[in-house]
Amino acid sequence: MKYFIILSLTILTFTCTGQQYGWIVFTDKSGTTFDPFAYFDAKAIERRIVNNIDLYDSTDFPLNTSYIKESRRYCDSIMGESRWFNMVFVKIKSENIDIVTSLPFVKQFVPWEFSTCMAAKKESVEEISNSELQEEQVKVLGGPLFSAAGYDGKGIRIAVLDGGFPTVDKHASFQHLRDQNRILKTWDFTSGKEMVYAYQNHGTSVLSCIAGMNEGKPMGLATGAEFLLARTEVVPEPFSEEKNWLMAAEWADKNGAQIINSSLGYTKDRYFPHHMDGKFTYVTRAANMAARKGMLVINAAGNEGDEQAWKIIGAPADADSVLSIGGIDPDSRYHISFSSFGPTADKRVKPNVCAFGKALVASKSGIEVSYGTSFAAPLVTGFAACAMQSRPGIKNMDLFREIEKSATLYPYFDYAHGYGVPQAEYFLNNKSVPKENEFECILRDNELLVKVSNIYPEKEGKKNYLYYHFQNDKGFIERYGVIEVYQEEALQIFDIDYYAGTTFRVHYHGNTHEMKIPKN
Amino acid sequence: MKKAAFFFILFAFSLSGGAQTVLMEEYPGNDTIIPIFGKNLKHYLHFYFSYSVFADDFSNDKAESKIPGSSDFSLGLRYKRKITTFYAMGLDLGMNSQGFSIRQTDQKSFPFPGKHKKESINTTGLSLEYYNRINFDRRGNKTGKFVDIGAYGFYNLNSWHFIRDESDTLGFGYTKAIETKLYKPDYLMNYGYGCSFRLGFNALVLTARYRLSDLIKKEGNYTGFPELPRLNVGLQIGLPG
Repeated sequence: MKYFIILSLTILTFTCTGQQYGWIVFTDKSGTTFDPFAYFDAKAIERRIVNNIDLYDSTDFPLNTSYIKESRRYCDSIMGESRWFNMVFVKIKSENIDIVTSLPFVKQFVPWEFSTCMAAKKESVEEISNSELQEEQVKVLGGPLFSAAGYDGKGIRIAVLDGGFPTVDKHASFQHLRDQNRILKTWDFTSGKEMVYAYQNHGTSVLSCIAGMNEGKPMGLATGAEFLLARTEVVPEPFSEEKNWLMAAEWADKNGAQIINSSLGYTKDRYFPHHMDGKFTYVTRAANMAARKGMLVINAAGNEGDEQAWKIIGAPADADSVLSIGGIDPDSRYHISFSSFGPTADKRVKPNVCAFGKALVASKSGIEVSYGTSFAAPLVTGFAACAMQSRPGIKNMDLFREIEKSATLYPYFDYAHGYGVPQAEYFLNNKSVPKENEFECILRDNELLVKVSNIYPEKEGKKNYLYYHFQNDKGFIERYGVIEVYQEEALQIFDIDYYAGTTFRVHYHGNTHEMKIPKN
Repeated sequence: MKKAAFFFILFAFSLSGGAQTVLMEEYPGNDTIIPIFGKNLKHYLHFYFSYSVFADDFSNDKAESKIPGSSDFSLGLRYKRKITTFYAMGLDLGMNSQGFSIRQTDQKSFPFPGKHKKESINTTGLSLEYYNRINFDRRGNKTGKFVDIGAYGFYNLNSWHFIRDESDTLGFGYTKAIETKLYKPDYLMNYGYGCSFRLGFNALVLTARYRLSDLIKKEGNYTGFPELPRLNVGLQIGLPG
């Protein structure tokens, strides 16, 4: 019996004590001084000026070194710090937590335990040269139009946060970046080293969807952009990716990034769907802060769309200032099954826009086809870089809204596609090209009928998709769908009283119509 | 009424859409209903199986049982009621099959003197356990790291004393095996109780049970009978855990 008790106590002791990771949040930054011109890259200063952001924002001030020094006495190690949130990330013995939290300059201790997933769904092992897919993944966004107008992201600085970038230093797809020294800085936040050209293949594939070249043709739209590459992910890593994400975003800010691409998501291992409210998770708050600093943050929606237990977007795609990117199928051109759905837990529209969720990408040792909103996000990042280049001086959140407006479905939206696929044409013409209305909505008795006047012949290969939704007066879409139309009477809904008081919107062949369903 | 209308609309729509292809249709309002059944939700129910060996040598009057030849195989159904992120309680209904292998020595006296090729005491029964669970991590809808401490009672539905002897009386290298099963030996208790301990990470659980009550009767003809091992330690897999 005594051995049993000893065994139990040993296991309990092992479980209950030991080391804990977490953030020590300080109360203030008193006594610190800050010189933005010494701290920031010139590009970061420029971005702040463009976005009317104060150069002496207290969130950019350094942490109080005496606070860090005093905290260090009770910690096993200090593993990172955040100026934005005035806190340090530490490894600490459980019994010291109370001591630290009782220090007068410590606001709180936030324990940290995380796991993460890349937003790549699955990756093909076959190496195929799918030139049609490569061409289409760029063309669907209007890439050739940007290219013809001379926009390739030149002068735009993009930070890519991912799990590693193996062979980017020698892969042929990135030769042009290396030749022109357009990979400006790299940093591995998991090990504190500069070397990032190893580890997970995911980052290499993501980067290729922004700026890769294959057989002389672009795989993404921003082949002329410059890059900051940050490794933030480790597999398996139970706790630190969100911390790394935050520190990488601050690093990107300091080094003048204008766009952050993050094909990462934090979902079911740590959170519940109701936590995806744009406020709850640290990484979401960090992403919103990055947007406040003038950077356009682009994040993959996630690949949980076909998992009933989760289904919705993950953090930080739930942040209101993050441009969240869903995936469409290159063949069907509507929602690809795994792409995570919106809305957020507080019922905001997400994803914001979408792109191909299947793409030709660079892999560690070649070129392959990969699936995931991980690749939709960088395709839009490349688009955003060109759009930013086409509108010098545009503020990040103005660009955010312009990208939404440029999309194929706008002003229609739903929780699978957002506003649709962004279009270069909008930025080049400075407006949407008006389209002829090819349908009418008829409300009679208790029935709603949508009649279309033009159906593309099948041989033309164009899609006759009709999108519709019912939005209630709180802005929430109660029902939405997509129908492939073959006949004039495209959609007929009986007992329409059920939707009384809602706004019915329908989108067909580039045109959106809305009508209020009257209350009896 | 609302539900009826909803299904009527669905039905009507399916008719009207007959000549079209409905590519997707979503009702997000239904998705926002917060579920209450799940690994880290209000209620959770799952199956498990475990294999453990009797491991103790604590009793001075122990039976000469072979360790680790003595073991327990269990199948069970476990219910968990979440109270807070860090505390839950629950019930566990298990079906347990236990076998105690008796070491054959010259001094052997339990349950009877005399050496055999193989000898064991076996039971199958049901157990019901109440447990308290402490979780150690904030988590999503997953089981996470936990410690369970509980108390259980059991009832043996069946028990038998198994003996196997072999003789070479047939010659030519052939042996004759004689297996004897004595059902419901009257020196065995049919019920009892104990405490349990589990240390788990998601579906993988290190489990231990300590039987506090005796399995062997100690009164009357059985005075002086040794006790069978009380502690079994093993591995449990939740399905899904």
